[in-house]
Amino acid sequence: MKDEHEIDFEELVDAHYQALYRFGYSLSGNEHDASDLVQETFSTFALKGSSIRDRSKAKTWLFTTLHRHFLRQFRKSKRVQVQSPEILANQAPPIDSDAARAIDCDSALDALVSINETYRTPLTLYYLRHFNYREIGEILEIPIGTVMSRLARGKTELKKILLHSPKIDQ
Amino acid sequence: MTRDEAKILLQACSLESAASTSPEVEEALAMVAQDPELAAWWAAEQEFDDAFSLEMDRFAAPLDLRAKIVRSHDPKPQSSSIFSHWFSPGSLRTFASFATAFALVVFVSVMLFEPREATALDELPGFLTTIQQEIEKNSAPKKPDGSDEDFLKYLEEQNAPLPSRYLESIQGFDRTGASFLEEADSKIGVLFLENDSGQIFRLFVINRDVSDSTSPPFPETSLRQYPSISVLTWKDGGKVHVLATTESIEVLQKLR
Repeated sequence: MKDEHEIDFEELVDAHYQALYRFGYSLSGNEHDASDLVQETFSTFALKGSSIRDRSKAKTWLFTTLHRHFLRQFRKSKRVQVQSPEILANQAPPIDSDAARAIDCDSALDALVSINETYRTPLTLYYLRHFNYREIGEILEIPIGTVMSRLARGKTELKKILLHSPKIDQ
Repeated sequence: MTRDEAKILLQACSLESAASTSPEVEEALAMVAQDPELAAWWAAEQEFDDAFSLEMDRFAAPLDLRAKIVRSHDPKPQSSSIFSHWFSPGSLRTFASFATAFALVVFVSVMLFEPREATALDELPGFLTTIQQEIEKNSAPKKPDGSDEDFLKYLEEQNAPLPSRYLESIQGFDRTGASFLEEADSKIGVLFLENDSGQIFRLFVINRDVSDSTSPPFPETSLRQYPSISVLTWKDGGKVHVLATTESIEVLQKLR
C-alpha cells in the first residue's frame, strides 16, 4: 500500500514542471537554459527528494532548488550583476484597464526578463500565483520585508517597461 | 498612513498574500475598505495582476520537456511487500547464509586477483591516444572567447557531440573555448574549462556505447591516472564524458 506521504515522481512533474519552466525562463531568459534548469531540478529531486518527509513542502523545495541551480550555473559563468541597494519603491505608474487587457504572453515575458534580476525573481514567483510572501522569502532565502520591497520595486519597473511597449502604448 | 503610503504597500499584494502579512499591510487594507478611491485603485491593480498572471500561464514549456524529465528519472524499487517478504524471519536466515557465502567469495577474489578500476578509456584506447596527443600539442583549434551558447553552438555546427549533464562541481567553471577532434569515423567535442584558481580542464565528449561497468552512469564517476594526464569519466545519454587535466589526480578527486 502506498504511503500517503510518499511522493509520486510523475505526479510531481505534472504538477510543477510548467511553473518551474516559467520560473527558469524568467531567470535565464532563454528556453534552452530554462529546460536544463527544470531537468536538473528534477534530477536533484530524484537523488535527494526522499529526504522530504512532508509532501506539501515539495513545491517550495523544487523552486528553491531551481533557483540555487541558476545561481550556481548561470550567474557565475555568464554575468556578474551588481546588486542594487534596496530602494524605497516609488508608486507604480497607473496602467488603465484596456492597457492591462492588451498585455499578451510575449510582451509579459519580454517585460519581465528586462527587469533587474533582484526584483525579477520575486516578481515572477508572485505572478506564478503559487506562493505567498513567506514562501517567496523561503525560496529566495530573504526576509519577508525584503520580499515586499522587492515586489513593489519590481512591479514599478514592470509597469514602466510595459508603458513603453508598442503593444501597450496608452 | 497616507493614501500614497498605502498604495506603495499594497501595489504588489494579492488579497490572499496580503492577509496578516504585517500590521502596516493590515492597516492599508483597512483603509481600502473605507476609501472608495483607494479601493478603485487597488481593484485596478488586481486586474492588472490577474491579466499578467494569465498571460504567464499561457507560456508553455517545450512539448518534449515532460518526457525528457520522466525518461531521465530512474525509479528505485520501493515495494513495501518485497521488503516485508525479505525481512520475514525465515528469509533473514536464508539471507544471512547467502551473505556469508558471498562475503567469502568476494574476499577470496580480492586476495587472488589484483583489483582494477576499469574506465571508459580501457574500451577506447584510440580515444585516449587522441586526447593525450591533443593535450600534449597544446595547439588545439581553440575558439576565441565567447558565451557558453557560442561554444555549444560551435560544437553543434561541427556535428560534434555536446555535453549532456555536468558534474555539479564543474557547473560553475568558466567555459573558455571549444574545439572538436576526429577519431576514426567519429567526432569528439571538446570544451575548455577553467576554475577560479586558473586550473585548466578539457571536457571531451564522445558518442560511444560503453558498458556501465566501465563508465558509470551520471552522477557516478570513475577516476584514473595516466602517464601525462588525469581523467574523470562519466556517462550520460549514451555519451561518454571525459574531464581531463594535466593537474594531479587529487584535483579531479575533489570534483567527483
